[in-house]
Amino acid sequence: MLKYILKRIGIMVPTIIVISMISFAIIQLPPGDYLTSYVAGLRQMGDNVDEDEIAALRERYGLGQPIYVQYYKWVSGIILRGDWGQSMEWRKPVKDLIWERMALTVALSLVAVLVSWFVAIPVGVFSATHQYTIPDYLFSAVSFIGAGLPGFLIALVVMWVAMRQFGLNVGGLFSQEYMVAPWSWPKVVDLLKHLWIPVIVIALGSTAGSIRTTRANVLDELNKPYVETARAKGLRERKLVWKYPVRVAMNPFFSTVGWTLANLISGQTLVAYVLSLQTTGPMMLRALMSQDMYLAGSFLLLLSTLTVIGTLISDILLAWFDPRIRMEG
Amino acid sequence: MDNNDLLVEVKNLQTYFYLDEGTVRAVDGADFNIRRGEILGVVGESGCGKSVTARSIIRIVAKPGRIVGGQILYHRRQNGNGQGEVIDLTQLSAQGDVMRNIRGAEISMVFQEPMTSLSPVHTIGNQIIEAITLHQRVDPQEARAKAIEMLDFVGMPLPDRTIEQYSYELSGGMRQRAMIAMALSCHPSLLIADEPTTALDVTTEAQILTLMRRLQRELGMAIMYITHNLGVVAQMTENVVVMYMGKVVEQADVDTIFHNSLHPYTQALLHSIPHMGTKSIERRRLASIKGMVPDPYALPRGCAFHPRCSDMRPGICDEIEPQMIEVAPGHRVRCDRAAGLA
Repeated sequence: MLKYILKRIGIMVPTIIVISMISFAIIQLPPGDYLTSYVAGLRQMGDNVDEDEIAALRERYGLGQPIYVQYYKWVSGIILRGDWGQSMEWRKPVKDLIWERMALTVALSLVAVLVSWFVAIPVGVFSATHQYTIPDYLFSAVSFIGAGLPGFLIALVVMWVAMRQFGLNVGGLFSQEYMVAPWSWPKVVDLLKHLWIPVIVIALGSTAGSIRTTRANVLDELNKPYVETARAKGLRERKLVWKYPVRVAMNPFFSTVGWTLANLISGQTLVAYVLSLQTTGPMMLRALMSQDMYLAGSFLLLLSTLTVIGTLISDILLAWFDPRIRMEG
Repeated sequence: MDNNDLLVEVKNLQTYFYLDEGTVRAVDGADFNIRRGEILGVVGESGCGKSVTARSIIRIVAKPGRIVGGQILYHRRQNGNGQGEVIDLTQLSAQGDVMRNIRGAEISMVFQEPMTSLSPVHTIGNQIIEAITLHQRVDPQEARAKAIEMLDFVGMPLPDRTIEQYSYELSGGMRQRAMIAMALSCHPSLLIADEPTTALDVTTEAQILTLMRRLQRELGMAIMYITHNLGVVAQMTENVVVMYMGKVVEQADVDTIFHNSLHPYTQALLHSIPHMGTKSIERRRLASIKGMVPDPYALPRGCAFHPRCSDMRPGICDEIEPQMIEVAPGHRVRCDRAAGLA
């Protein structure tokens, strides 16, 4: 098992290096850079542009240099000094910008994922063991609707209902007074008060899909001979369902941990916009649009690193739960 | 037959499957007895109701199948005083305590596919120990010791190592041994073996058959051995039940079945076995039973076998359903003509 994990980690490192190169190159692909679009924006508004200031900025961000020099400066900064570069648009170091948002995003999405699994797995198993009964049809209908509705629409509806029926202002993750306040106990309480709506909205979409997946997987396993063997032992039906077919049917969940982790950061951008959440999704989208390359590059690097780490976690979980995979490793 | 010897009486058992396309009468009036300590062979083509009969006895018929009629009388021997009780298994709740205490402990089952009949993600030991702790009051260490003992008993090499292994690490024959160890771990009075060697190669099959005979002798249990292989029947069993389309068409001891069978279907089955060294009939084509197994949704009127029977009498066989007739003690046949009545 240990050898298996070490081997996987060994493959991870070069993967991340290559991904970081590719993502950096892709960010550079569009013509121009942040400063050209910045200057163009200023000119459009009729502002005077100080050529000297632009040149100084270009020098400071190293934009005139060849791409591999820029890449080297950026990566060595991250590795040696933990410096992720400057965000040009925000005029702040990237690391000051992303970590708080990152923490909020991870907290929010993690809670949403756990809520969604907590609901989806029992419901999916129930649907499978009661196939073609009225509750099964009911759950199926609800989950199809949930899977079909886009998250931002649900977010809008929930906000509208909360506003009209309960007089709540539910946008954002904090109330006005805590928005920029330093972390304190009341701020945490305030966060928890705001958290439930985004959690419900985000969890709803993935719950629907997970119910379908669980139901289909459990149905596949329910008629396998080993289930009949367990039944022939005299095991209680509920116990044997959870011990045997559900256990095997959980494999797809473990294998999706890989992209679930990355989804924590990039996913739900639209919902975050609608609910004006201070999460990473909207910030990353804006950075990409304005060619704020160090900020966007840092996001991409984090995303791919998380995907790779997520894949490693999936692999370990799968190997732990399914001995057949351990053998092949 | 001494009533004390009776273990299971299957009386007019009817198990139907209610599908969208219609009702399949998988078992339609099966009658036979299993005596204590005997090996009973149940033979018939695929789809004749052998497996469904077995699953009906331990009440694990899968939906949409249902027992709709008949009785399965289980003669339970109480401990100590020898005073037994008779339970009609069809009247029990399939998930109820009584049935679950019988299933797997007093009547257990070994399945056809050793490759897939064990969980891929649990160790052999985990699954055997589960069966033991389910029915016996033992602590985990005792259960483990018993499991190792059972594995050793069924001839598993290195049982204390195998107990930690997963099913995919074992060969087909070894998996089937593990299945048998699991089924026998609570010393059942009846072991139902549903084609346990069909998926195995011939050498392994011979080993498993020898093993089952030995276990049956040593434990004194009865075995209901389901197979379509008449060679295995000759080798293993004492009494034979021949089934066709959900009904028992002939029942007799194994010698009678092979040398003095009466039902045209039994005879046709016997003719379809290749014989070695039959010089008189050189290069004889292997006989097959003409026609096809009838459509299960539309069973023929009268005797279900009449469309394929060489002795079919128009107006009788395709009109009147024959009854079971006892032609000699222990020899019963469901054919008027074969019984000499017509």
